Amino acid sequence: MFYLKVLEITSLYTILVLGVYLMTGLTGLFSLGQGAFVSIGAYTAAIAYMRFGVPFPLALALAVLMGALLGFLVGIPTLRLRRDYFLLVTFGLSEMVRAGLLYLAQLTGGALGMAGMPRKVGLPLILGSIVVITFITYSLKRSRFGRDCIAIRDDELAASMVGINVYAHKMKVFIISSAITAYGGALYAFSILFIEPNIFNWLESAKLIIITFVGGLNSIAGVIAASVIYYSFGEFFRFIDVWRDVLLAVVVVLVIIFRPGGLFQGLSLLPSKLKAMRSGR
Amino acid sequence: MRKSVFLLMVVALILGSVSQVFAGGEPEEAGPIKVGMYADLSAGTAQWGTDAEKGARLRIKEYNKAGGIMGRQIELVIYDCKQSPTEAVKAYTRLATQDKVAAVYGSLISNTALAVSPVAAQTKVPVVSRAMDERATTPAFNPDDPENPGPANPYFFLLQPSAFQQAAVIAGYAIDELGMNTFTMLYDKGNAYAEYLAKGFAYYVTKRGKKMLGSFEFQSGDVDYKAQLTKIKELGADGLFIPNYVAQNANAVKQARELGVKARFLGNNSWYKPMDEVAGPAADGSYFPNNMTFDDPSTQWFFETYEAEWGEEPRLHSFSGYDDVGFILEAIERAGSTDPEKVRDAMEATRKFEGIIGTINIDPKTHRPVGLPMAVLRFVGDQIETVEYRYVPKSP
Amino acid sequence: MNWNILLQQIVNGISLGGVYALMAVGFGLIFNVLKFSNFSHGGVVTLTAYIGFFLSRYLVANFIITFLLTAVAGGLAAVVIERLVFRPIRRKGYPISMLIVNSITVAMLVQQFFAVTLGADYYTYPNFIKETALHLGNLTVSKIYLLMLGISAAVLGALTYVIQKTKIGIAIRAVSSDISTPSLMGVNVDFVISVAFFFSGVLGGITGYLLGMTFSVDPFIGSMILKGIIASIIGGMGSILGGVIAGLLLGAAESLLIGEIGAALTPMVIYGSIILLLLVRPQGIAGKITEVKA
Repeated sequence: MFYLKVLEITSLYTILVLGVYLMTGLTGLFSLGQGAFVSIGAYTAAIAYMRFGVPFPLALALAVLMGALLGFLVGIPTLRLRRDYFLLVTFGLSEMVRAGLLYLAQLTGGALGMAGMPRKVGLPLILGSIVVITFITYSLKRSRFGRDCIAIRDDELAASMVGINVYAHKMKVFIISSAITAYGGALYAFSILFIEPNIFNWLESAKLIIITFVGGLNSIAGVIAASVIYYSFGEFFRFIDVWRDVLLAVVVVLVIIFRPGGLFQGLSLLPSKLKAMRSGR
Repeated sequence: MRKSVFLLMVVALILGSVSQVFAGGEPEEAGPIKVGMYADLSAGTAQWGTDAEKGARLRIKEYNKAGGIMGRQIELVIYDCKQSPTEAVKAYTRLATQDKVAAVYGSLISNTALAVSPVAAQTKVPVVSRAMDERATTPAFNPDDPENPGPANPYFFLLQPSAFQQAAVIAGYAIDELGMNTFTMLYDKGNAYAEYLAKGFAYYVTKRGKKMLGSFEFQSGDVDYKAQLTKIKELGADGLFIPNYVAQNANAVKQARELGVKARFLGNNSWYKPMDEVAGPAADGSYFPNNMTFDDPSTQWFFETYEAEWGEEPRLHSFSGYDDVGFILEAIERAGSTDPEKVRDAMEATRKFEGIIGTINIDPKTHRPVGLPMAVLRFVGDQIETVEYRYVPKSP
Repeated sequence: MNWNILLQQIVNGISLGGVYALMAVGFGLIFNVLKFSNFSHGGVVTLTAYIGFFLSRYLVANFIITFLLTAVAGGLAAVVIERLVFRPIRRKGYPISMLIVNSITVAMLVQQFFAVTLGADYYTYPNFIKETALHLGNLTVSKIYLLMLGISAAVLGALTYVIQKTKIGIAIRAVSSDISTPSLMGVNVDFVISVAFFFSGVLGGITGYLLGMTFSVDPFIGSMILKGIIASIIGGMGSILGGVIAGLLLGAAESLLIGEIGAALTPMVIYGSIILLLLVRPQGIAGKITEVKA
């Protein structure tokens, strides 16, 4: 039962990592503000269900929509900015959302958070969601759209010269990524059963980015593997769990220097034989 | 599709179900008695967590020297929850289902308690903690209607006065002993602990017919409060209530002094040491409630024992760890068993547990102690002195 | 409107702004030279806050000596970080995004390292300045904040002089506009970059020391750097002066807003305005538009 709980929490975070992977791996966008979307998703679903009696599946859908909407609104002014500006602006965004949640205490409970959500989310839903999201990510990556995005990631200037509409691509990816992250937040609310405005700060967002890099920008399976290892690490290595983040940092620095494709850069979702057959076509 | 990933997921599901088969079952009848603990050993409040652990280990060592309980030695199983609700939930679940502890001593940080509380109700291994947030023990608590807290969570216990009770202590003292009539406060808007104390303070003050002139907040990461303090100075209230964590309280006090705020400062139980080192003489003249004092002759033995064991002076949460684990062990003894259900029943029936912080009587309706007095202390220069050893405020 | 209060709030704000300005300068130096956001600056600030504490508690309780030693320690730390973490990436020609990721990682490493090892205790510097408040008529200013402001201004002046007039300054400017050409002219690019990092590290050390002295030392002190970085960005890339001015403005705006609408709404107004500003004027207040090289 305990390991199930660990798997649950690990998988929740893996959904968030996938959201970041989509954004960072595909278009090279860095965001320190994932917390904003996690919170928006979590609070939208929780408020809809607890305060307005909206049925659970609808509440989930609402959370996803809000995430996408926020992504769209935020993207309009910010997606044309340089990478590091975008990084900081997203940080500012998460601070804004946090302040907003604290301020609207009547609705959100403020610092006291919201508790008492029933346990609607279990392992099957979370794992199922991962499968679906992985499928979406994989298809996107393989498609023409995805290849254009990777071109943007590697060299924005060149991509725009070849006629790729950089802004439009980034926006689409950002919206999908935000929706996924908000979805993860909603799942969090109904499986951990307690939310407060501080649940996801810039450090956690930074870790998502870092894990993505460790897993490898080109490898979905690698990113999932890295995420699973990091978030369940503590359970298997209790005695050094306190040093978990320091270890992660050291590993990341080494990986980036010596194996920039990611620790699992060779790992592919498709077994190599199948891959060879596909490209042979 | 992605065959290998699909296979991976199937394997995970199988592993999960298999482990479920082996989980659960009766706790062992022989071998050491296990008491679980999850505390903040890293992150912002690490000092409290490590102090509590030291207090807990001391108590266990004493019990073991005296032969343990029912002839068995006691073992502490402890995990770091890093001030994070998800880590706390993981730790609690592991302690309850893997390590099969008889009871759990939990972190006092509100949000960890609030996350673990519903899990404890389902997992049915009792948790004891210092989390002052009323919702940990009575989940339906509404701060706007504190007289009706709602039903208690059968598996969660609080071993110190709750937030509203503690706020009443200092507010009552300020009104009745210091003759104050007007108040302001400065608190961390992002911290439920501070916010509950603030609400409790405002509730008591208003109920007693005195005035809250203003209530000022700051965001959790802020370290500079001059903007708020300038306004507070202008309002000129008798008292300024500052109920946050040590570093924030110290910063607030130093800056308030600098600006020349005339109000007397009133604190919470985070004003005990090391506040005297961090704030220094700026805290002169402030009053605050605390669970214990360090010059009460009846508790001197603890100072000596603790220093002999750990080589340093005990702080507030050293006392907490010692008392709270003692509470757990005594309940196990009374239950005569390590079955979490029986231990829980013994805990609910606890009357007259003699802790260092006073006699604990658990109110079965709220799972909080009844009639537990607190001490009132004050700063003279940068030294802390005791003013009242056992103070109970007037009812509002 | 009470003018006294308003004036005091402005004074509060500009003093706080001095802290942001100091951070903006340290950060801005690397921002201009290597054209990337060096988040590890926060790590240097945290590290030096602790170093300064240990030096002043255990070595000698003298402000000037420990202050200078800490500043130098900061410079050395930054150089070490550059050597170990950034140079290999630079040498191999990886994209800038890798540098950014690594800089965030270093910041995280420092913070978590201290959280695990020393996080359990509160460290306060010895009381070097007995009376921290300076009273000018009805207004109160903190001496330490004034010190920070003064140092920002002095450093700004010194940096401007060095960059414009000295040989190493010219080399730094050459490297910042094009990283490969100067080596053709016989400039040791690695050395120049190390020097730039040393300067920024010294600034980090100064910041860490002063922050530690004012607010007490904890592992999360480096998170304040984010506000300083934001000031740098609003100020505009390519202009350290812009960063300083933006820092002061940010502090003043925060102070006034908190006083008027409370700390709850202030972040929303401030960050909202920043987003709007960047939308309308992406180069910041004083910056120039630079081509993003891939």
